[in-house]
Parts: sequence; structure tokens; C-alpha cells
Amino acid sequence: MLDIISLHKSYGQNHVVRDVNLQIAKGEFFCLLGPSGCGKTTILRMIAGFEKATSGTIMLDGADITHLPPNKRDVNTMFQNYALFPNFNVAENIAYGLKMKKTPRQEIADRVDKVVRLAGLSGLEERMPAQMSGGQQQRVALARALINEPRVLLLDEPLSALDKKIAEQTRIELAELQRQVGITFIFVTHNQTEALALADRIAIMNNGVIEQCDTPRNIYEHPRTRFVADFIGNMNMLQGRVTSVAQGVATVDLEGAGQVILSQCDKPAAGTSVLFCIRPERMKLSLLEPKGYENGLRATVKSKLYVGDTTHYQVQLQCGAMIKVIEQNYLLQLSNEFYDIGEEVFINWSQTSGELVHV
Amino acid sequence: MAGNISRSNDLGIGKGLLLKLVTYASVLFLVSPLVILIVLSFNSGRTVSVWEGFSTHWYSVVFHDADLWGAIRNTFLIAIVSTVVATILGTMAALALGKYKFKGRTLVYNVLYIPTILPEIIFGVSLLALFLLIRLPLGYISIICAHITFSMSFVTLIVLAKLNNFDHRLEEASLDLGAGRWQTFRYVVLPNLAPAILSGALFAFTLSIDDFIVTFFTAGATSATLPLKIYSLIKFGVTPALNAVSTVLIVFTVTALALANAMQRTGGISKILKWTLAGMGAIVLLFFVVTFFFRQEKKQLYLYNYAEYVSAELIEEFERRYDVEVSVNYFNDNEELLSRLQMGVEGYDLIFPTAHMVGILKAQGLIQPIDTSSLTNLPQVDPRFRRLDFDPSGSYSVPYAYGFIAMVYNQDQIKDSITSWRALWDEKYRSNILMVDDMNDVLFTGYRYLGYEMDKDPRKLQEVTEALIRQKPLLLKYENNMTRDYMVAGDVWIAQTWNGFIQQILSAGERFKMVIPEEGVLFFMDNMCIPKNAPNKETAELFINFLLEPRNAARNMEIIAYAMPVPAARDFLPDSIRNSQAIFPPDNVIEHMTLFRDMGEFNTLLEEAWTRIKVR
Amino acid sequence: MFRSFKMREFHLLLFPPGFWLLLFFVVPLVIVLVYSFAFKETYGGVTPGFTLEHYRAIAEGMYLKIFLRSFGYAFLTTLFTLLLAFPIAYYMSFASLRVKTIIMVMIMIPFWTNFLVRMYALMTIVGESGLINQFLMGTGIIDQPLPLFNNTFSVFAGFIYWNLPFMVLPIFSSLDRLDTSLIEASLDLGASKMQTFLRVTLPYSVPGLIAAIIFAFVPTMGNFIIPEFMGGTDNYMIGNLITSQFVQARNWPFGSALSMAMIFFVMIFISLYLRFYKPSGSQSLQNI
Ligand SMILES: Nc1ncnc2c1ncn2[C@@H]1O[C@H](COP(=O)(O)OP(=O)(O)OP(=O)(O)O)[C@@H](O)[C@H]1O
Ligand SMILES: [Mg+2]
Repeated sequence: MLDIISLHKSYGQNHVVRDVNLQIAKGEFFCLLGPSGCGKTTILRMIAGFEKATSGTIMLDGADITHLPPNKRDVNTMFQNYALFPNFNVAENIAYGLKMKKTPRQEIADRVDKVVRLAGLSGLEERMPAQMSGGQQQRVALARALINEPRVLLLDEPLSALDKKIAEQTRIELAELQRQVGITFIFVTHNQTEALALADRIAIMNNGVIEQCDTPRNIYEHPRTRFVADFIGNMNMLQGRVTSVAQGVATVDLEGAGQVILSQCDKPAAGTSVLFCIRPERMKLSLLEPKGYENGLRATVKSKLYVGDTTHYQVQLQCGAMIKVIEQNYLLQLSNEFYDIGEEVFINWSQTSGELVHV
Repeated sequence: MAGNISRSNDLGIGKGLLLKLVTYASVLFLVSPLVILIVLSFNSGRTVSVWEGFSTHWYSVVFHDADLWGAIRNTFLIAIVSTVVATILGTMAALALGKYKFKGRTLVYNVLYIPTILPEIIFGVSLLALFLLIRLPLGYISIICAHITFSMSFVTLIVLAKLNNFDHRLEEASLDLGAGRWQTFRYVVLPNLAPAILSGALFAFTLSIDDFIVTFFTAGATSATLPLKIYSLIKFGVTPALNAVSTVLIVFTVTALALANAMQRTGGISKILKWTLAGMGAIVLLFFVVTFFFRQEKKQLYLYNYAEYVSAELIEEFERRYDVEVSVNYFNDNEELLSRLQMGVEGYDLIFPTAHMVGILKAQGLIQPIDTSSLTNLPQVDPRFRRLDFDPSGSYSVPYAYGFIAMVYNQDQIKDSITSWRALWDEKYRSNILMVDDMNDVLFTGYRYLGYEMDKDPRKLQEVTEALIRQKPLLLKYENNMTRDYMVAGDVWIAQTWNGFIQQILSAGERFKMVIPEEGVLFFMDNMCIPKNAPNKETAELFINFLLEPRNAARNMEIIAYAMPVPAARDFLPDSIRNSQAIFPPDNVIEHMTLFRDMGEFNTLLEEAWTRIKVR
Repeated sequence: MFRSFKMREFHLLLFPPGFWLLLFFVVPLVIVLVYSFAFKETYGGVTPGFTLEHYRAIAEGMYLKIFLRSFGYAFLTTLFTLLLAFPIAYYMSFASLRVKTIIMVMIMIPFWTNFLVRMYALMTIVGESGLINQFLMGTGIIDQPLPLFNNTFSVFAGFIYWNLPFMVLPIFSSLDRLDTSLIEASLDLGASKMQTFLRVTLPYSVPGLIAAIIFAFVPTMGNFIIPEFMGGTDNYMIGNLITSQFVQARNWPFGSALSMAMIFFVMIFISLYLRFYKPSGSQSLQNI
């Protein structure tokens, strides 16, 4: 329902958003995730109409809204600092949009009442913004946007100003609320956990470009680019070259570290340079050689960090590359396997784990 | 206002003894004069600074002073109107500069900024020049225009500062919620700008109420503001009433401050304050309505005169008898009178120029013929004083009073017997000599000191100028009106002044002695004239006639201590006055008297000389 | 990063105030400029023409001396007042809230009290038969009144008394904004108190100082009331000279030339300052 087609934005020579294409469905909870300065806010502001697109089209339900002013778009924004009007009280703030549309008084009152209850603001209607906590202000900002029943709600890091506890709780409420009202949310965040937890789909941005747009699970499990692989969670990455591909099984030669086999993988052609990526928790250390459908590499333990539920090892491959391995402690305790610094070990993992990324 | 965070620290910074001492001494220096002034306002005595007992007498004097109330009314009227306009214009400029980027923005900004740092006197003279050129009579309109001009920029800067710090995300939020730009402006920008606009308005209001310098140049006869009145009270004769007026002003200031502070504390205009403000507004309005109606009923008469040159009691009687309200403004000398009339100050009904000035005023078309047929008392005037060469037809002026400039000294302080103007150059009396602040009288004295007649010889003038410049270090100052106070208090030993003042000084004690210098004295004759466009010509004629009534003339002479050319009045005078040589000098003196004549083109040189003397 | 939307229509708002300033500010100055080259009529009034006579007269020693005296008075007044105002502001900014508030009130009252009233109040104290002399003579400490009045001393007393509150406030408000942790950090990093003052506190107060200096210097330069009422025969300043040309001597062309020269002097002074520091204009006002 919201279609963004080759959207481009530049400030002079500075290309801030480049060739962005997105299709967002009705009722979807969509997340934009990326490092600071990558252009997330800029995209949001172009959707809201605060910023003019340099080129490209924004379509809402089939209508071109690229050149409409903000007040003519059925899109609302929840601002990062909430931007509540200090001269109005809570109820007046919430009613603002309806009042501007010349909605009848009675209807305004009813709808404000409903939204106030929905947002858990009952009893605070007469308060001025300055007299409220951050969390309460955040709810008012949300209520003020939601009451207009926009087709798309844009949220620019709505939880970043809250402390961690409240942010976590609000996150849950936000997801709940979105399900109830069924409005499309486009949510910008820095916080991966937040994005992974809330979103139906996530777009990972870097340098004005969308690197990957997918479900949280696919983003985590199957990063498509080096940037995404590196950006989300912990990831070990090793340079390599595909030596053969046969029946969905690829053999990769890691430069100077040995060979690994990757099943269920048919994308790269033989001979291409790739990056072999694998998450630390997918590997385990062992004194034994790999067996069956396992990969194994020789390594030396360089450091060990016990953090309660897990133990983090840094191990060095023969080629010199460092690898991070996370062991679940309850598993270790069963086998009672602890490794000392300097010890020669194998890193073993299943051939179904790991991902190949083009370089 | 005071920061809200206390920063007391244990570092020992800002705690030095010297620092403390300087701070408290300075604060004492700042506040104690005001406190003493307030205390002295309850003094019962007539002197300004000697305590004689508690009394609220001076407050009732102030309360019943219609002139003062008029000034207060003018001050508020001007302040309110100019504040409203300045706030509107200033806010407009701020909005344009803040919400619209255009090419000449910096230029406009600078043009707006300059008025806030330009000396006020520049505003005063340049606006005066403009008003004269466009023939705008000086009065309410000119003052209001002037006040708007210098306070507008302050409003702009205050509002612009707020606008530049404005959280523009609020505007975006509003647009986002479906409001148009105008709605956003109306509901979001303007309300949040209101406190800045209000403080701009408050600033403009205070500037206007406080202003003296610009008003001094742009005020007319009937539009004197409170600061002008205070100035005139300080300059032309201080009475303890000034203490009372000042106290009222200080109390007003403190109240307003407290109110403003309370407003800031509550973070906005709370309900109580709203009511207080509304109440104050209502009182001001009521005040205007009441004074308006009171004013309308009475006839008005505006005099422009030397200070203490008509008996106040007599004026009161005139007011009562004819149901007129008389106001008096003062000028310092003939030159000021001429300047003010030339500037376009209108509204005066009766002025009191000296003989030579009558001729100048007439030639300049600044006075109009008097309806002498209505003056039933005109025949009382000594015919020798009528139809003199400055007014041959006798229709432009009626003689008022005459006198001369001489010297007076304190015999306790000066043991020598003084007979000559040379005493004013005597090194022994250094810093204890006063001269009048009047060009003609000072220059004349210089001429006579050198033994010259006053003629049009530039070389003589040069010598006279040098002699007077040589004299300057010996003088305490040039002073017209406070001479009596200085002499009586013993602050100066010898003064050159007019015979009326001499008479008053003589009556203060045996120790004072008048000297009619052997070189001769300068005679003056003051007249009553009616300026062109006088709004109340008939009342002015009524007043002239009233003053010429012998009985009234006698009463007037008793107070002002100058002779009026009304021979029949002598019969009503007490002996002390009738026989006073200071008022009616003996014939041999009159023979030596010189009457100052208009010097025509030579005047320019005289004025230059006078400026040079002052400047040295 | 967020920018305000523009209101193109608002350029219309510039016309009324712009027109006003043009008519009542720019045009009057132009008139004065034109007059300064014109001739004087015998009894006042201005004859159009072009002469540099008035400017030549100003360049002559005598009037130039008045300018230099005014400049000197303004300069010294600013300096002396600063020597009092800075310690007060400094003391205040580190005092407890209670002390701070009390001093603030003591400064705000004279700040907002009418200038003439304040000057008159001072006159009752330092005047020839003012309270100081009355007291000293009454207690027999002196038998001749001290020369406290109608001389250069009383002129400076008047100027300092007048300017002091106007200087304290802007300096105070810049000092008050200084974060104490900066001072603590400086001390912590091994700077002495003196070094901390010179390196941290003083630079921080510069905006306030500049505002204070301009706000004291310029009005002092143009004042003519204090020399008139509190000065003797040799305290004549440019303000008196200009005033006398307009309201007594009726030599408008000369008065105009003097005004132009004064603007020139003041502008030199201000532009000297603006070289070091660009005011946001309103900054100094916010301090009030
Ligand atoms: N008005 C502007 N002029 C020039 N460059 C701009 C402007 N606004 C933003 N940029 C640049 O555009 C880039 C993207 O900015 P944007 O605000 O979209 O980043 P972001 O992804 O939201 O970052 P963050 O997570 O820190 O909020 C940044 O490099 C920024 O410097
Ligand atoms: Mg952002």
C-alpha cells in the first residue's frame, strides 16, 4: 500500500538516500534499521512531506503523494522528542489534528476520550506537557498521531529517550497497540533487539542504500551482504573461495585455514570469492576431530571470558584470523569441557550452519 | 533575573573578603540614596535635605497638583499607545526576519540593530529635524512617533531571539497533524511566541515611561511627561514635593517588579495575576476617563515663562475666579524660548520674552497681535514702557516686569567692600562665585569688566570672550535658578544674578549685601506676548488683564520681587517692598542702566562666543 | 537539522516596520547629514547650501577637546563601573540562592527606577549641602564642606551610579551560566585559582562584558543631564554642546555636524568591538 520507487535525496553533492525501493503492506510493522547518519530519518521525512525528494516516487494506496504538503498526506509522525505543543494541555494536544480538520466538537470529545483510554492516559487530560514524565509524553505523542487514524504512522526512534526498563515495557505495549489499531507502522531505530522483536519486516540501511529488506529471522539467519552480516548480532567472517558446488553442497576454501563444507547452499558459482559467515553460538570447541556432517578447524585458545550463562572464547586459526566462539555453560557442565588459554582445540560446527556472502 | 540554581561551593571561589566588601559597599551605594529619598519625602520642612519632622504634607501637595497629574496622564497615554504600536511593528519585523529568508536580510537586521545602540540624543535631534521639516507640530503625536521608533527595535530583537530558538519540530508536528501553515502559525507559533512578545512590550513600555532625552526634544507645550516634569523640578527649583513624587515612582517600580517576578515564578500568567493585571488596566482606564471628563469642562491656559516669575497664589486665584486650569512650563532663557517656538512647539497661550526678543519673535512671525481693546487695565501701565522701539505699535506686547542684573555677596564670607564687576574675577573667591547661565547677561558683564560698551566690534568681543574664559576656573558654575539656595546655604560667597533673586536673598539675612557695580548694570524688560496659533487667546488676554489690575500687580510683585510698570500698584505694596532698592533702584542707578538691544547679524558671533566660553 | 518552514507571505510584514524605520530613523539621519553641510540663518533656521565650515570648526582644537573629554569620561566611567560591577556579578554568581536573590533585588530596583529620580537621589547625598557634608560638618569632622559637587568628581559619581546596575546584570547572567564543573575540572587538572579565573571564568563572561561595556559606554557618551546638574563649569560634554546648539544657540547646522561626528565616534567604538565579537543582538537583551 505504501510504495517507494527509486527514491533519491541529495544535499548538494552529498547523496543521502540512494535508489530506495520499498513496498510496505497494510497493517505491517516495518522497521528501518541502520547506523547513525545512514538516512533513516531522511526517508521518514520524505514520506511525511517535510523533505522534498530529489527524485523518485512515493505512492500511498496507488496515489502519488510525492509532492503533497505534509498536511495533505494521510500520514502522521511521532517525533523523536515528541514535539508536544507546550501551550496546549494533553487533551488539546490530542485533539489538535481533528480540530484542524474541523471535526464536530462532540466527535472530537468522543474520539479523544477513546484514544486517551487506549493510551492509558486517563486522568491526565488537563495536564500540561511540561508537567509529565517522558513516558507519559511519549504516550501523548502517540495518541495525538493515532487519533487521526492515519494510513501510515511514522515513528522516529520513539523509545530512545526513555530509560531501558520503561522502553522495554513500552515496546511491548506499542506492539500490542499496533495490532489493535491495525495501522501501518514505519519504525526507525538504532536498537537491533527492538527491531528484531517488533518488526514484521526490517530494512537494513547503510550509507543511503537499503542493503537488505526481509523478515527478522531471515535478516539474522541469512544476511545477504557483508554489511548486514556484520551489523546484526555477532558474526565471524572469513575470506574464501568456492571450489565446487554440487547438489546444494558447496565447498569453500578458506585462505590458509582449511576447507569447509556448506550444505543447502546453491547460490554461488564455483570459483567466486566469498565471505564465509558463521555466528559464534553455532560453533563449539572440542578436543576431538569433527565427525559426520561436521566442519572442523584447528585453532589455539587465546582468551576466555566467563559471563554466567555463556563462556566467550577467542581462538586463533592457523592462518592467524581470530574467531569468536560462544559456549552455553549448561552444555559444558554436562561434558565438563573447559579449555585453557594456549590449548590446541578444534572448532566444530554442523555443515548446515553458516552463510556465504558475495564480496 | 536570579538564576535558580545555587552554586554555593566548597572551593572557596567567589568568597574573598575584598570581593564581599566591594559587593556590599556598592549595593549600599546603589540603594541608600533611594532609601534616604523615601525617608526625606516624609519631611515636614521646606528644605529638601534637612529633617524637620514627620509629615505626609508633600504627598497631599503632589496629590493636588493638577499639572503633575496631567504629566502622569500624558506619560501613560504616550507609553500605552507607543507600546502597542511598537509591539505590533516590532513583532511584524521579527516575523518577517525570522520566517522569511531574503537577500537584504542582514542589511535590514543591522538597520534594526543600530537603533538599540545609538545614543538617544541622536534620535532626539534627528527626529526634531524631521518633525520641523514636515511641519508636524510637537506634541503627543511627535512624542509617540519618537518612542515607537526607539523601542520598536528592542521588541524585534527580543521576539526574533525567541523565534530563532523556536523548536521547529513543533511546526512540523502541527503540519503533520493536518494543520495548514496559517493554522500552524495561529495555533502553535504565535501562542509560544506570546511570552517574548509580552516581554518586548513590557520593555517598550518601560523605555517609554522612563525616557527623558528623546522626549525633551520632541515634546510640545501640553504634552510634558513625568520625566520632563521631574527635570523641570530639579532644574527650576527643588521642593520636597519632588521627594514625594520620586517615592511614588520608586514604589510603582518595585510593585511592577514584584509582579513581573511573580509572573516568572508561576511560569506564566496565572489566574490571580490575570485578575491583577486586568484590575490595573481597569484603574488606568478609569483614570483616563475621569481625567478626560474633568479636563473637558474647564478652560485651559498654558504659560511659558521663567521659573517663579508669576505668583502661584495669584494663578490660583485666577483659576478660581474664571474657572480656568493654568499650566506653566519653564524656559531657561530667551534663546530657549525662541528655539522652542521655532521648533514648532505649539500650545502655549502666553509667553514672557525680554524686550529685544519681542522684536525677533515678531519678525519671525511667531507671535500675534493682542486684542488691546479687551484689556481694561491697560491704561494702568506706565506709558513710558509702552510702544518702545521693539514694538512701536504696542499691539504685540504688554510690558510685564523690569529689572537688572547686579551682584550680591555674603559679608560674613567676604570682608572686602565690593563695588565693581571686577570682584567676579577675584582669585580670592575661587570656586565660590556664581554667574547666571544667560548669554546676554554674562557677555554684558564681560564687556563692562573690560570697560567697553556692547557694540558690534568683533575684536572687543574676542577680548571679552577671553576674559570670560579666564574667569571660568573661578566659578562654581553658571546657574540661574538655584542661586538663592546656594547663597543662603553659604555654598557660594558672591553671585551675579537678577535683582529679584537679590531681593529674596537679602530678605534671608542681614549678612547679604547687594552691589550695583560702578560700571553700570544691564537693564531688562520682560513682556507678555501671545504666540501665533495660541489655542486659548482670549483666556490669555483675560490673564494679562488680571495681572495688570493694580491690586494683583502688587501681590505679584511681593512674590516675584521684580517691579511691574503699574504705578498704581505701589499703593498696595508693603513698605519693605516699596522701599526696597533691589526692586526699585534709585534714579542715579537707572541713569547708568543699559537696555540690551537686538544685535542683528552680530548675534551669531555672540552665540559662537558663548558656546566657546561654555565649552572651555 | 530541522528547519522551519518559510512563510513567503511574511515578507509583506516587513513593509510597515520597514517603512516606519525609513521615515523615522533613516530619513531623519539623512536630514541631519544634509543640515550639517548647510548654513545657519541669523535667528535660527537653516539655509540650504554646502559648506564644510561646521566640520572644520569641529576639527578645531576647542570642540575636538570636548569630544575627547566625552570619550574620556565615557571610557573612564566604563572602566570604573566595570571595576565595581565585575566583582559584584562574580560574588553573586557564587553566592547562596538567598544572598543572590537579595543582591539581585537591590540591583533591580535602581535598574528600573527612573534615571532622573536616581540622579536626584544622589544629589541629595553628595550635594554641596547634601547629607554627607551635613553629617561631616554636624559631627565636627570638617568645618568647610568637602568639594563633592559641581565638579568632575560628582560627574563621575553620577555616571557610575547610573551605569552600575546596567553593567552588573549582563555580566552576572553570563557568569551564572558558567557550569561549576568547568571550574572544578580546571582546578582538578592542576590550574591555580588565578589561572582558572583567567582561563575559564573570564572568557566565559566575555559576551556579558561586551554587552555591559556597550550599554555603559554609548549612553554615557551622549548624556547631557549629569554634566548639567552635577558638573561644574568644566564638565561640558558633547551632549550639552549638541543640546545647546538646538535649544539655545539655534545653530542647527553646527548641531547637526556635531551629531554626525558623534555617530562617527560611537560607530568607531562599536565596530572595534564587533571585530572581536559578533553579537546576536538580542543576546545582550536577554540578559536583562
Ligand atoms: N539539511 C541537511 N543538509 C545536509 N546534509 C544533511 C541534512 N540533513 C541531513 N543531512 C545528512 O544526511 C545524512 C542522513 O541523515 P539522517 O538524519 O537521515 O540520518 P539517520 O539515519 O536518521 O541518523 P540517526 O540514526 O543518527 O538519526 C547525514 O549524513 C546527515 O548529515
Ligand atoms: Mg535520525
